[in-house]
Amino acid sequence: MKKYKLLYLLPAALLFGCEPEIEDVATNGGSADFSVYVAVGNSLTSGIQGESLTLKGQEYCYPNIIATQLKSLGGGEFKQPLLKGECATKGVFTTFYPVPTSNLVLPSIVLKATPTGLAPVFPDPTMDWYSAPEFFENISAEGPYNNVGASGAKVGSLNDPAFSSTNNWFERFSSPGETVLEAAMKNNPTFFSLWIGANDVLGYSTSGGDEGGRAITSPTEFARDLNEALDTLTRTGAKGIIANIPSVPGIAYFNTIPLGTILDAAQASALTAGYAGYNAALKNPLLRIPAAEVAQRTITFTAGQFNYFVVTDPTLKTDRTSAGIPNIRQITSSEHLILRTPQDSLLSGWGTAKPIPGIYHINQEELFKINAATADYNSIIKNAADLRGLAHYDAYAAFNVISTTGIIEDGISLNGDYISGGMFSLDGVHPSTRGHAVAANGFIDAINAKYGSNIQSVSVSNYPSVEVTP
Amino acid sequence: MKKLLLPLLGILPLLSFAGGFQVNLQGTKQTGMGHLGTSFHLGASSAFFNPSMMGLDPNKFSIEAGANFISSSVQFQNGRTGVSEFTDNPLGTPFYLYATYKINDKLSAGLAVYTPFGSTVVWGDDWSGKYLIQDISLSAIFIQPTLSYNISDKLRVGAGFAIVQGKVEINKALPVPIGNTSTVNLQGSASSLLPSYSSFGFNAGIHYDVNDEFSIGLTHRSKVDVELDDGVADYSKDPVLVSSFPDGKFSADLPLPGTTTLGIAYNVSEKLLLSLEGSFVQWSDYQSLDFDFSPNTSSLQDSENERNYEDAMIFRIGAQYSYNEMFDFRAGFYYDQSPIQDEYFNPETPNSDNIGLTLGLSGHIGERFGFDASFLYVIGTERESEYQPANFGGTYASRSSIVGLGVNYNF
Repeated sequence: MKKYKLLYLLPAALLFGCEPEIEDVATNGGSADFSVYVAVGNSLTSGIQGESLTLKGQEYCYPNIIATQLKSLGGGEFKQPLLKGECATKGVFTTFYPVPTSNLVLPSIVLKATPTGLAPVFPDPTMDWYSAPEFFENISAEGPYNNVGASGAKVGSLNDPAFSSTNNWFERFSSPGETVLEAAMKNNPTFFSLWIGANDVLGYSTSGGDEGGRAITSPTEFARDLNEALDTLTRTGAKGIIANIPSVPGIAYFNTIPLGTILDAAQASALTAGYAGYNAALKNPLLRIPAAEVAQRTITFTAGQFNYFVVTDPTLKTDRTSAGIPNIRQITSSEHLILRTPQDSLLSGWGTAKPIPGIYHINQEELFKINAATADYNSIIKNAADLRGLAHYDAYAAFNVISTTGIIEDGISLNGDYISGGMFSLDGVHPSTRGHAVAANGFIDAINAKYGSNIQSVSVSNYPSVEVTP
Repeated sequence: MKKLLLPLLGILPLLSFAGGFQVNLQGTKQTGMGHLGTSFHLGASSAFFNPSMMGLDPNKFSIEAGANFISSSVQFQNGRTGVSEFTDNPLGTPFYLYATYKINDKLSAGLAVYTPFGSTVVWGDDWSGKYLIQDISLSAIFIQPTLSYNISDKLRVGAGFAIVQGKVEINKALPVPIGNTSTVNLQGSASSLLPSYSSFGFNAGIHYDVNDEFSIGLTHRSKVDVELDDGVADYSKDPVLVSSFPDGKFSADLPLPGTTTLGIAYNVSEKLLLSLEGSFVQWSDYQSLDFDFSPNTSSLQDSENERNYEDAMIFRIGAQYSYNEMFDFRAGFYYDQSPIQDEYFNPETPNSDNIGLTLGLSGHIGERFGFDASFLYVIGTERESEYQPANFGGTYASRSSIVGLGVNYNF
């Protein structure tokens, strides 16, 4: 009998060809309604890469990736305040102050082949300004916009009516006096994402800590402003997701500049001689510097070995600058130099013959404050999510894995190393396009886990790597 | 005969539709009945199926040739995105050529040329697994001089050694953090005829007639290492990557596993023959595909790629019905187990457990000439697997339709 069946099957196979048919994945939204999605946040949300906004950055920002995946689950149009004209491709550098005339902006950081090799080339504020009147056109009438992320937004900016006049990024697509939350709520969202808080600590960190003059938001203020924002966003019953803040010292921005260098015998002995007077003075009993601090401040160089750089550290306990003893010491392995530490200065003697200024250096005390604030914010964020039954994306944990062990996606190795790691854009702070795809997948997993939906993830391999500018 | 064969020899891309990248299409007659033929004689192709049976040929001289036309498609449904992608494989045409000659009542000689391994998989340049593989084409041709000896009327043995010609070509995208269109093309070949190469294969068999109704056959085809020594690695890359990925050489070893087959044939009547076979394929020899690149740079290191194949079994059942003097009909079924573990399923060899359904027909024109046709439909069962080292996986399934045509001439 079996033979008859086979005889019947074979001609059928010929007729119907030879394509396998795996059943399509059935999608469902679970308990959430994804028809109107709004994304609230800062530069991460707006799609800043390489410290600048470009049309590509906007296209590849994690909210837009999520919105695309929501389409098959009833998600509607996701309108973004897209850049227009020349600045859409050239990019607008975030640091556009001071602006010589109102229509001028700086272009993006680019990755270029330079005489010394492939390197990120930052726009030169003395000459690279170009006219981009489109950037300063107000496009709020074309809204409302589903992505209301604005570079520089802190948690306190979300409900601040002055933000629309003090932040060029938000001013572009908001009406005067409108808050970020009002701009978001104009959409009548059914679902929102909120990723905020990084600027509340990052501004302090990226400017070098205490020397930079930008304060860390207090946890009390943070909690108040965050809960206020969530009250507004959930007012009409919208569900949503809130992400926490990745570890600030874990980003490439703080882990790229080497903390020292290897010296040959001649260099080491010259430097040892140069600092001999300083080292001797530290021990001068008249200066009453405690022995432990003398040890911390004593500068030694060893030929043929890795020697930590010398930095200025105004937080040293015993300030004897009045006696002509500078506040300097050698950096330790757990500290950080920021990406913007001028490399040409390092080559010409910073860190060895001359101390590296403190604004480029994150010291232990500053690290402690940064980590403590991040931990406080993240527990506030988690509590707020739990209290309201919102999904929670643990970006802190996810990015920690990326910067410590690295991850592999579709055969691509990604880690936190600057440029070569593939995860960060050229500024070392904001994720690259692939970083956004990884983050979008993280959001999607957390949303699915909370609401029982099955939003499909994206293939990281479908997203481009950092481009090289010819 | 040679005229007919020459154009076939020129077309080489093969297709994977047997376990791993083994190709089981060595005789159109046998293919028509589930690709079994270890325990009963079916012409000159016995030189491959069980070399000991060459002396069973009623003719002094027998020659057989054929080719298969494979159209296949593999579907991949990405486990992350739910998006389906399909291979765009070219038509594969593996071939075979056998000749046997009866020297005397005891001794026969033969020559077998066949393609027991091969694979052509084309996923495309821009599919989601492009950093694992874009396309791969690998083929191995075995040329096997063979002798058989009849120990008694019931017991016979035979063996041949195989000269191996192998070649492989791989294209894949480079997962570099900068530049988006960088790819590598790897091409290598190996031949037993080269002095540097040590690996030959052998194919040995024994056959025993239990009585008029039952016969048993046992064969072993050995493992062969394809040593690609002088491979060419050619990078097309973003200009800034020139120093990181210089064009150069590579070497790699690809093991072609040994296969042991036990078969039993039962002549139900003068017209009907049934046969069962089991094969044990030692795929566990394929643990890793390692590329030794030269020169190396900090970006271009030697690569070790885990495969961790496991030994696999093939079960076959087939029937042949001799309708009259002119025609034989055949049908068969086989189950071919995939050697690949779910954690190490790389789309370069998208092989799942295969179910084969076959039909066959032979015709005899006059005393000397015969032709064979077979049709094989292969269902590559659905499986959910990933290549863990690359964190890439999903659901795979495949289908293949294979038409086999063969001719034989005997005198």
